[in-house]
This record gives sequence, C-alpha cells and structure tokens, in this order.
Amino acid sequence: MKNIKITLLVLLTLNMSSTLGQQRVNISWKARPESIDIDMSKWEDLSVLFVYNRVKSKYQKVNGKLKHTRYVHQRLRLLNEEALNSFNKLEIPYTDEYEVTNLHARSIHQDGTVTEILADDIHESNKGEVKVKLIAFENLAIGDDVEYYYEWNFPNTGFTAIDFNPGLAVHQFYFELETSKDIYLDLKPYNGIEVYEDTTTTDGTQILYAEINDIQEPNQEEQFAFPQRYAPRVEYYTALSETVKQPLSWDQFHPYKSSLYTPMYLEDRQLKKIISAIPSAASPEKRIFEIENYIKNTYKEGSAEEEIPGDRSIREVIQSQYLFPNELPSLIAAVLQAEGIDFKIGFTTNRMLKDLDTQFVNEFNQELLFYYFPEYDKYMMPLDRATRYSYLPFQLSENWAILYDTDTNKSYTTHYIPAKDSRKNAHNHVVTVSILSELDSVQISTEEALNDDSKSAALSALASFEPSQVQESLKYIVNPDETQNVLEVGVENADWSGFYTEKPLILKSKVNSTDMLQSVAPGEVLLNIGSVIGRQAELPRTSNERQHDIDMTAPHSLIREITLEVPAGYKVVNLDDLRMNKSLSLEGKEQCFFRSDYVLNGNTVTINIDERYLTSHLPKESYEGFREVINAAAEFNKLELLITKI
Amino acid sequence: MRKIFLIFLWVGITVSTQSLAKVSGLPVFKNYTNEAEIYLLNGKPMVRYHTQLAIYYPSDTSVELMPYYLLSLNSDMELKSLNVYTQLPNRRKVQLEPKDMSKSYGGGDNYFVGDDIEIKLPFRKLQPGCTAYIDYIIDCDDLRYFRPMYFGYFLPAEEIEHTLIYPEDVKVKIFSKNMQAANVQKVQYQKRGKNFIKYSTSDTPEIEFFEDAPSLAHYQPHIIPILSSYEIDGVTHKYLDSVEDLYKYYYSIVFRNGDKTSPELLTIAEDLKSQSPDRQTLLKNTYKWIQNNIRYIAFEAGEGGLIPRAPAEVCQRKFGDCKDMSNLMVKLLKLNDVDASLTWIGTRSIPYTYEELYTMNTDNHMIVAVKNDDNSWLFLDATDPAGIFGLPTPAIQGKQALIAIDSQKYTIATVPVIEKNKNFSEYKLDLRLDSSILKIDAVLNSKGILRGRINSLLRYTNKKESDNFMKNLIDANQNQTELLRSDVVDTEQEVHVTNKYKVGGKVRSVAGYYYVYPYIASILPFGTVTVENRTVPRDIELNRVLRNETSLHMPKGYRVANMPEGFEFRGQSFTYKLDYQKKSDLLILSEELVIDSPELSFSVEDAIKWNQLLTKLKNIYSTPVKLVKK
Repeated sequence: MKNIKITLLVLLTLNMSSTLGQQRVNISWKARPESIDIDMSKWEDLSVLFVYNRVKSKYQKVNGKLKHTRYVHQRLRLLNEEALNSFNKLEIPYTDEYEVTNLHARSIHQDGTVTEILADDIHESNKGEVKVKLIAFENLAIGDDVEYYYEWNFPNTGFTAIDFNPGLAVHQFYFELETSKDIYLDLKPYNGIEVYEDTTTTDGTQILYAEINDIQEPNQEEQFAFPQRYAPRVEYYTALSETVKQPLSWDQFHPYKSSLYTPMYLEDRQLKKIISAIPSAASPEKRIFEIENYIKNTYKEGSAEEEIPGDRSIREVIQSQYLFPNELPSLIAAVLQAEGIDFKIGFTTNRMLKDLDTQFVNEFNQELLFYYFPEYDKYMMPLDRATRYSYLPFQLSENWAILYDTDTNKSYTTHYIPAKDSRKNAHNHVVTVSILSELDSVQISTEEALNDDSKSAALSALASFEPSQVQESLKYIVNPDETQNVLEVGVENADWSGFYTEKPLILKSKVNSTDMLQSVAPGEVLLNIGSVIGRQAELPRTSNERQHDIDMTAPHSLIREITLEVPAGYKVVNLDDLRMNKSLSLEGKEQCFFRSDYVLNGNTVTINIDERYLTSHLPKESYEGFREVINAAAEFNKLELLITKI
Repeated sequence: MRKIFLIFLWVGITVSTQSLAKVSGLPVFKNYTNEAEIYLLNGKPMVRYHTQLAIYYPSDTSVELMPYYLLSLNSDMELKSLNVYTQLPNRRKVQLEPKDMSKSYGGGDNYFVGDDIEIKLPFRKLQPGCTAYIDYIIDCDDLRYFRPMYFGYFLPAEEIEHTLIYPEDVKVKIFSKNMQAANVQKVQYQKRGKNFIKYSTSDTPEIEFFEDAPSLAHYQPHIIPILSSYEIDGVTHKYLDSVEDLYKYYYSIVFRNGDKTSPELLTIAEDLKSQSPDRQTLLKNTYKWIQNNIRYIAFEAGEGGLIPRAPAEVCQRKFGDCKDMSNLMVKLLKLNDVDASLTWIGTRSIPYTYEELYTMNTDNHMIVAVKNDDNSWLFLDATDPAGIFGLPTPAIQGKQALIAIDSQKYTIATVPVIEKNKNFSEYKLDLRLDSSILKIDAVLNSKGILRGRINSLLRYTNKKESDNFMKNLIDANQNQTELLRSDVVDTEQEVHVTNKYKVGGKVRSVAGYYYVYPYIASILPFGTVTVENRTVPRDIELNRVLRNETSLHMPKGYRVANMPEGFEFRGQSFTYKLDYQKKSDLLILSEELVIDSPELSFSVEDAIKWNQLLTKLKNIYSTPVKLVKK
C-alpha cells in the first residue's frame, strides 16, 4: 500500500509523543479480540485507558441519497475499582433517525479469555426523547478490557468535525473516512494531525485516515487553559458530487440564504409603528443602541415550550410581543436597514474552543453571530439579550471573522477582531480603610470602576433587575459571605445605556467589618488589608509539565488605590510587606505584572497597586513567571499588617 | 411492581430534591384531588387511581420554577387516560398533545435498566395567571404497594382531598402516620354498594424542605390503605391481613429464578471454606468476597425489580443488585452449611414497622441475616462497598428486618444502632515551624464505619484523587499545601493514614513575632444546620467519637505569649471538649467530639446548640496563637 500525506496544517502542536499513522486499521468486529501489547508503565496512576478508539465514517450514494454510516470500535482497559464501576456499563443513545445496528460487546480478561455479551442481554430503554441501548459487561476484574463495536446510521449533516480529544488517555485514536466516487469531499486537519490517503483503491473510492497514539489524559485542573482550542481535529464537508456545482465558498452560507436568519421585511405601516416607538437619539451612533435596546426590551423571549411556527409575519410578532431567538436578529436588522444604517453580518468561532479558519469553509463555524458597524468600528451581539451595542464579548476577540453584506449579491469579506486594550478593559478600585478607635472594627469605603468585560458582567445582571432588586443584589455583591455590615451601597451608569457609554459602571459601598481585624494581644491587632482587593485566583506549582499554553479571556488591568487611616497613637509595624513587584517579560517585552507600593504621610498610608495582563496568550514555558504574577495578587490578598500602640 | 433495588453510595445518602422551600411566588395547588377505588376484576383485586390537579401560577417566578409536571408510574401501573391543558388568563384552554409528552424509563441513577416510567408534561403557553390542569387515571393490579396519600406537598395547596372507595365485599384497613397534627376531616359513607372514606384538608402551606432531614414520610401526615381481604362467591380470600401474609407472598416469589448450584459456585464456596478456620471467618470471607467481586448494577425491569436472580447467574456475571448479592451470599453460605436467611428491610428513609404496615411500602432493600452463637442476629449488607463486617450500614441501623426462616416461618428483628465507640477516629498532628511554613506529621487512625469510608474512598480513586483526599485532611488552602509523603495501612480493625505535609498560610511572621493558626484539621463532620422554621430533626447518620490532638513545637527561644483557655460544650446528643496544655517546648491542643443519639438525629434544640458551638469555634479557629521571644 502506498500512502501519501495530504493537507497538513500545523497551527499548534499538542503534547503528544508520536503520530505513527502510516497504516490503515480494519475497523470491524472479530470473533476473537485483537492481541494488543501495551507498555503499561507509561500509564501509571490512570483509572482507565482507551486501548483504542477507532471511528470510521463511510459516505455512499444509496437510492439517490447520501448515506452516512459511522463504525465505532472501542476498547477500554479498566485499571482500578473506580473505572470498573464507571465503565462496566455502556449506554448508546439512538433515535429512529440515528439507528444503531450490529452492536457487539465483550469483556476481555487478563488471561485472554472473553465473556461475550449475548444479543438477549442488550437492553433497550427510553430516556426522555432519546432511546438507549444498554449493556452491562460481565465477569469483570481490575485490569480487564471492555470492547464494543456498533454501526450508526447518520443523516448526512454536510459538515462534520472529528475531535481527537476523548477526555481520557488513549493508546490509539484512529479515524478513517471513506467516500465513494460520487461523493464530494473537502477536508482539513488542524493542530498537528496528519491525514493519509490510501491510493490502492481502484473504483474511485477515496479513503483517508489519521491516527494519534499515546494521548495523555487531560489535566482538568490546569487553570488559564483552553485545551479544546489545541486539540487535534479534522473538519470536512461531504455532499453528492452532482449537487456541488462549484467549490465551496462562504458566500453560499450567507445567513439570509439559510433558514436560520431569514430577513424580515417590514411593510411601511408596521415599520412606522415600531420606529415611532423607539426613543430618539442624540447621535446616529446612539440610534443604533436605541434600536437594539428597544427591541430587546419590548419583545420577550419566546418560551422554549412554545410551538415555533415556520415563518411568522411581522404582524404576528408585534401582536405576540415575543420573539424567538432566530427572529430577534432579523427584526433588529430589518429596523437598522430601514433606517439606512450601514452594518455587516458577522460570524466567528468562540476563541476559547477554536480559532476560525477563514480559508476552510465550514458552515458550523458560523457559530457566534454579531453585527459590525464599519463607520464606528464597533460591534453588537443581536442574539444576546444580556448585552447591548457596543460591547464585544471577549470570546470573539483576537479571532478572524466572516462578514456578510446585507445585500446578498455582494461577496463576503474577512475581518480580524483585534485584542482588547488592557488599559480600557479595566476594573479599578479606590478604597479607604479607617480603623475605628476601639480597634475592633474597620470602616471600608470603596468605589469600584468597572469597564468593558467586568462592566458587561455587572450590567447584564443589574440592568435586567427591578429597582427593588438592585439594592439587594448590590449588597450581595459587596458582601457575598455576609460577614460585613453594609452601611451604604450605590451604583452609577447601571442601566442598559451603560453598554453604549464609555463611562465606567461605578459601584460604591461603605461597610463595617470586624473580620478584617484580629486582636492578637492587648493593643495589638492584625489587619488583613489585602482582603479589600477581594479573593484572588491562585495557581499551584505544578509537579508535572504544563500541558497547554496559558490563555486568558482578554488583556485586562486592575488598578487599586487603598488609603489606610491608622488611629492616633498607633503605628503599622510591617509596612514594607506592602512592597511587591512581580513581572513576566518575554523577549524584552513585559507581558504581565503585579506591583504594589505605599507612601506614609502622618497616620495615612496610601497603597497603590498596578496589576496588568497585556496579552491574553502566553507560551506554556512561561507558566512559572505567570504563576508568580497571579500569586502575587493572592499573596497581597492575604497580607496582614500588624498595628501596635506607639 | 415495587422495586427492591437500593444502592449505597459510600459518601452517604443524599437527597437531591431541589428545595422549593421559602420561595415566594410558588405555584399553588388549587385542587389536589385523588380517588383510589379498589374493585374486583375476574376474581382479582385491582385499584384505579383517579387524580385531578389544578395548579395556579400567580407570577413569573412560579412559571420559571415549575414549567412542567413529572408524572411517575411504577411498572405495574397502567395509564388509562391522561388529559393536560393550560387555562390562560383569558379562560382559553390550550391542550397538551401526546406528542409533546416525553417518556423516560428507568428510575434515575439508582438502576441501570428499569421500567418505571416518568412522563414529562410541559404546560403550554404558561404565563402568570394561568391554571394548569392534569387529570389522569391509572390502573394497578398489585395492591401490596399502595400509593401513600399525603396531606401536604412542596407547593401550597388550597384543597387536598383523598377518597378511598371499595366494595362491600372487600375489607380495608387504613394505616395513618403523623395524622394527629393534621387538620384533616374524614367523612365515611356508603353509596350504591360501595364504601367511601373521604379525607380532606385545606390551605396547607408548602412543605419546608431540609436536605439533611429524614425523609418526608417521617413527619408529613399521610395514610396508606391496606387491602386485608376480599370475598368472591362467599369465599373470603386473605390478601394482606398480617405480616405473615406479606411474608408468604415474598417467599412464594423469591426463589422463582431457581437456586441451582453451578461448578463455579462450588469452587468459590470450597475456596472460602478452605481459607476460613472457623465459622466467623467464613462469614467474614464470604461477605468480603461478595463486596469485592460483585459490582452493583441493577436491572429492575419486570420481575427483576422484585425477584433475585439465580445465584449461579450473579456469580458468573459478577454484577447484581441488593437482592442478587444477598441471594448469592445465602447460597455460598448454605453450600458451606451456614444457615443464612434472605432478609427484607426498609432503609431509614422509610419510617414504618412491619407490625403497623405489612405492605411493600415498608421495605426497599434486601440483606442477609445469620444467627450468632448468642442467638442475636448478624446482618450482612454487601451492597455497601464501605461496609464493615459485623457493623450494619448507617442506612439500616435501627430498622426492622423481616428474616426468612422457611416457607412458613419468619422472624422480625431490629438492626442495632452502632455504639459510638465503635466508630472512632483519632487524628494526631505534629506541627513544626520552618520560617512561615508549617511542617506537619499527621497520623489518622479510624475504626468502624469511619474506617470503611476511608478504605472505600481510596479504593475508588486514582493516585491524583487520593493525593487530593490526603491534602483535604488538612484544613488549609490547597494551593499552599504540599503532600510530601503518604502511607496507608489498612487492617481489618482500623485504617492508619500517615502523612507529611508542608503548609503555607498558617503562620505569620511579623516584627519578630510568630502568629500561628494551629487548628489544622477540622473535627466537625458537618457545618451549620438550618434551624429557621425548622420542626424536623437533622439526620446525623452515625454515632461516633472523634479526637484530634495537635502538638505545636515552639521555635527555639520562643514561648506562647498568652495561653488560650479550653472549654466544654454539651448538647443533648453531642459533647465537645477543647483543652490546651503546655509540655516542655510543646503546646498541645486536644479536641474531642462525641455524637451519640439513639435516633441517629439531632433534635431542633440540639441543632441550635450545634450552631452555637460552631459560632464559638469559628472565633477560636480564626484566632492565632502568638509566639514571642523568651
């Protein structure tokens, strides 16, 4: 057999020891289990190992239709009691449309004997709308394998992705794709996986395959990591060749050509009715906000339990006063278009899961919908009821996107959504801490200024509340553990227009706390001054090598100014503990830092903290330096000042 | 068919019902009307349940809280009719179509294959001001399990009415529980040859739900009818007129799957015999063999819900439920001439005794009983992987057991509540300062069920998880806790865990002083108990004695600035002691907590005292010990 290597796109290489995919694997159920020799010393401390996970998708034309059959052959080694109890049962979901056939299963014992599951012992049941086939493996002991095989008839979905990321350690992950000569195939591998073609076929059948060996069990505890983003995967498109007249283009997937976002066309009378109800705006740009805000506030979300009629007329929408999710962006777009506001319809992927590849057309990657306003270089999330123009969620930033014109005759364009500015994506504090004269409590006045991502999170909650709920919510925000006595609480710029304005959301509070002070001797207290910055993330030193690069949601900064009023006749013994300086630089460029310092003026200590993350992505080799910066904030949070009588 | 399928989770039994208590704007039962009519069909007693519910939704919250109703049917129930609709505020009716009702089989996470049915009924166009109506009829041909009739639910109810209807040739007894406190009117009358007993109440508030409380049946008023006998053509047929009737029914079906001996069974029995020099060891080895080799998988469809599988089949498959494991254990013991008995039992979630309620409502589990030499009973429940030979599992302590002797004879015995000293744990910690780090040598010895918990936890975890468990034995920030070494020695009697740690965050070195937080391991098995509006006890699962001893070594040249004071605190069912001692260069803190309740629960008064103790300890645990230079 001659193998040729086809498309290879290396975006980033996962931590895997080998890619040996040179040989095809026969995926079928055999009378006797395969003899597999694995060096188990590589897999110490595991609960379960995928001896193999073999999947084949076969596409063929049957009765003029494209038929997709998936062959699944899996074998797991159960290495402790936990695994035995978790994997001694198998549930395979199916529906009338997704039929499961040819199911076989058996236990393979360490002495080479097997216990086959008989057809009578394959049970069927219903779980809600899904049917399941159920098997309990018999006669199992620790160290045994369970092996099963089934064929799954899939309706063709066109686009498919195979993720080589089963969430368990895998000895062999093998995927094969077989298409008959009358099938169109477009395929692209990602994140280091190599795909080979079997060129020995003679009848026009195309067989592609890929294999990864020795995939480590994902480290679930790794923080600041987006593991899915770097998992090897193969994306492909299949269709009957006769239906594919030209190479795939994003233009074929213009949202207005699909059933999802059918544009709404308003008749004059309806249009006038809606437009006349929208509050006037001081500027054309503010008008964008007002349109979205009016529609999202006026039309409630259609209940999931409601029946969804095919294409509701705008008259029905206006009468019902609710919008289904697919209708919301359509109505906003219709009004924007009616007012002559220039915008593009954009799609991208969630960067935390995968980057968008604009070079490979995949309708499924039109995952996150946004509207882009070129005149202002700003964004709107028309589907998201909890945000308003001009907030851009971090999931969309630092990623490519496809932009469509509202005129379906115009071709798509690509667009890069840049990273957020760490200075603008800021959550800042100004805090005054006064120790009361009895040395038994402190009064803390805080003014928090929230911008961009932190503002959005707060606004999404606060703006949807009734005024009576806001006060209670604010009290909970400033005092989640109910350890403090809240004296005052207030908020500014917390209505929906907070999304439009560049003004920060201001959260003000005044609380009394006894928990911050710990009396340790007569006239001597420990003041946990660091607690005013709130609980901070903390990263452990890893004994194992970090698996993934460091990913944060977005660049951001946290700037705090803390003023401490020390009562007359007292002094702070360990002021120098307040001086901290941790930073991480790569190639001479600072990436993140935590710096704190103080100035003593009489009985007033002014502490300044500057914590900044200038990038959202760092190589995993810089973990130790990153950890020091993150942990510096955690250290500061625990910092206690010793205050004694002079 | 009522299932006997209980599974034990070694983390303890938890209730997952979402609390609706104290949620304002709950939906309201305008009517909860239920008729249970017993009738004879082809010489066989049947019951028809006709239930009509009207649920009013006053607010958005109520709509969000309960957008659908779950109708649960046992496998022996046949749904004869179901009509569901929503009445909108404008009085328009919106019908729920059968295609919108989704069915689930099984019974949640407890069993793998079941045939109980749960039907999800999503109310259409639900909005504030709506009333949802559900009207269904169920037929059931087995009256040994009768649906309990409650007079209070998790929703407030304006009217609750339960009516029992039965013909004159049928004799029925009514078992009632907690009815003395309920304001329920009872009306009894005859009409067209039928007896009617109607119970009604009105304006019942929603039940306050407490996750840590015994089950609702313990404290909510309810009745359960018992069909004693029925008459056909002048001949009286006994049904359930005594415990004997229930037992005879159980015995008539329990061996229906056969009891044949297989070569594998013989080999295992012989092996067990050869490894066991005496009867007691044989019992223990057989119990442990089941525990170690038979995994819990429950196939509860059809008769599998009630009748154990043949021992040879369970042995070959190496899995089963409580009935299967018990049947296999009895078989293995009998092959070795030990007289062991299949035993029906209700777990502590069921509050009834067999004498008061001799129906299948009283049990949900099967174990094995063997007579001890002193004529007492040894109860063996191999379903619980954390179970300790000789100690009944917490879920059955204090419960009545129905022990099979032969086809005619049975006996009822009560499973003892395990004495506190048998569940004993001692934790010794040795603390040394290394700058701002604490170096800790810790030794934990546990006996009884507490030992079983640790054994089981470690058995079901990989190294990473067991390291995390060991780190959690120290009450410190996990990111600042380094486990340097860990050894576990598990004997039959107790488990010894020896750990070495380096822990940060527990010492402050400020201006030449040390401030040390020496309370490194919490002795408290659970936290604050919700006592507001509480009238029900707090389940404590098991009696126990716990001791912690922490020795803090003074750094060279240092002494304790102010010696803290110990104290003792008593509740009705618990005692806590804290003591401090100075011994050369050591500060020794000793804590002891004894929990001892015959009912395995804290009364509300005890729960209040428990909370007071926790408040006091919170202050103590957060106060550092100051070390100063001598």
